[in-house]
Amino acid sequence: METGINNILTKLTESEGVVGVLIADEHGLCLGARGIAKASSAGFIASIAAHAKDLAEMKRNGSDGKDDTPTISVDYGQQ
Amino acid sequence: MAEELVVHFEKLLTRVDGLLSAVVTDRDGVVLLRATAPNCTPPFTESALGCTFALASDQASKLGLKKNKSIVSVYGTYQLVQFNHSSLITTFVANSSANTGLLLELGSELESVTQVIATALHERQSGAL
Repeated sequence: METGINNILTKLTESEGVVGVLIADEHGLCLGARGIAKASSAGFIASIAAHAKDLAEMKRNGSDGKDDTPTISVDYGQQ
Repeated sequence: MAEELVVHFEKLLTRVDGLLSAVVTDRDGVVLLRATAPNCTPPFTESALGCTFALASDQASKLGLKKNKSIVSVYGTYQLVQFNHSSLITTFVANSSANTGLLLELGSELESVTQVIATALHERQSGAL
């Protein structure tokens, strides 16, 4: 049942520069994690995504109403 | 110290959207610590949360997967995320749309806090004997 997700995780992990991948659902539950990504981060990541989407919806109010789920970038400086 | 713990728990309610209540009980359902969001009246008996979960957790521990750590129960309007921290039970009550993963992590973070409460209780009981 999870073959599709595992295939996607493997494909993303093989991309250049990728050190970790995590897929979480809307409830903040981890569906799969690879590399340095920890399953315990799923809740926090989903929370950040939900808040970012709220911000995007605030900006979108009054426009054409197209669904525009934002891409989020978090910069930690030097690794 | 008890007041500091209550304040700490009340601050937790602001960390997760939709988190309505955080309760620490013993396995018999006696409420040791409670923080509830303002204007929130949960439609259940708090003491029943602890003892019902204790039964469910004991049964879940018999599945051959070692000791049960937590149980998530999702209802129409609410969800309960409950943790079995040895002698104490931590219960989070939240809206069904709240971030379950975040609540699970919150419970893991609080294990050290409930351990302090459990140790204090144990010392008090030993002193009383």
